[in-house]
Amino acid sequence: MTDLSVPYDEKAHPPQRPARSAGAGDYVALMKPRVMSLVVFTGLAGLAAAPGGVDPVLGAAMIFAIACGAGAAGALNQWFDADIDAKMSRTRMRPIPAGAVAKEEALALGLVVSALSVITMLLAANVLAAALLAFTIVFYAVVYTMWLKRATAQNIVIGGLAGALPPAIAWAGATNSLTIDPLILVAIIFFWTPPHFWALSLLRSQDYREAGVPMLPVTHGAAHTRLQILLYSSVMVPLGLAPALTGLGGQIYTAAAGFTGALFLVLAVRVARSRAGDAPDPTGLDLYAATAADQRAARDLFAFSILYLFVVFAALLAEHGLGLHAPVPWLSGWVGAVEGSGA
Amino acid sequence: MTGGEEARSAEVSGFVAEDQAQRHARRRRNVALALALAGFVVLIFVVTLARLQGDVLNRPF
Repeated sequence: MTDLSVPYDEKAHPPQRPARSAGAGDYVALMKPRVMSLVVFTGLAGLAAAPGGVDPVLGAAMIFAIACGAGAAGALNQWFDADIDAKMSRTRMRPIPAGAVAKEEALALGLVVSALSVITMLLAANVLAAALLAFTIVFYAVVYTMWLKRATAQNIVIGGLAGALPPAIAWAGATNSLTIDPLILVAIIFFWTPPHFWALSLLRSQDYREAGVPMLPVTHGAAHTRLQILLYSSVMVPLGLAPALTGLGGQIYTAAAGFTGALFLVLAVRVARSRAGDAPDPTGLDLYAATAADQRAARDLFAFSILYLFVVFAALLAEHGLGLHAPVPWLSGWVGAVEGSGA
Repeated sequence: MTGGEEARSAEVSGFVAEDQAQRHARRRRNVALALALAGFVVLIFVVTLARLQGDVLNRPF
């Protein structure tokens, strides 16, 4: 029986057609493909860097499970946040607020794909990786989406853990263990998340304010946000070099993370010294109002932060996946040794 | 029965009728769902083979 055969009380519930019929693209959009591509990439790097190697078929299944888990969490996020998404210009055209997909459909998709992704991970890898994947989905959908996002300005800081875990899930899938190396990779993404999202939120603070989302620029102001961006960047950039100390990152990685990390810091300092996120002055008479150059500083950092994460994990992937890993002689081994790290 | 008659008949009997575009969209969604399910079955099959490796044939017939 389809939903079309269910009689309805026309007076109480006048028939409502969806704004448009959902296509495959709407269901893909529901699963946040850009976030999926990021977790696939970082998960792949974690898998390649894990010692011992892994069967390529099982490795592909693990990455597929991570991608599906991330997509399912994205669908659950859009199910719960449909009211917020409808108010913000950036998200107003998402499938639920656009009227293409019903909320219940998004919930069903999220729950079913979550379960299938964890089962797939369990079959392809082990209990540890499946449990970590399940934890990641629940953390993103429940802790971040249902609780933190609407409750605290630290929402994306704590919630960022969900986006940071994929390399550790893949590592656990390959080795059935967690060592300091995957945890360093998690820490890099964890500390990368606040500067990345806060740079964006400096540009979109009005949107967040109107939607009632307590992002840092809304609750603490733009100046405080710019300072926090600099502080988190100052922690993240040295952390990005930590794999060189354990031997996980070789010469290519160290050069890539060092160079892009230095640029990241320069851009973060530029944001801290700017007035990005401050209200612009329509009269042009206020010498201290934000200018287009100020806003560009935040936009540049946001764009570069994506490039930074890509370069750092691509270097790791190239070193371990293509056999290009050569330890940095005077650094490697300072923090424990990586047993048979595919070097 | 034409599309218009279908719609009128559904309206009289208290059902919401689909138009042609919605019917096509629903069919496409069903096909996509069937393909996804078939893909999942294949994935589990391939993962099982990879996990068992050579042992998959090491059994009494």
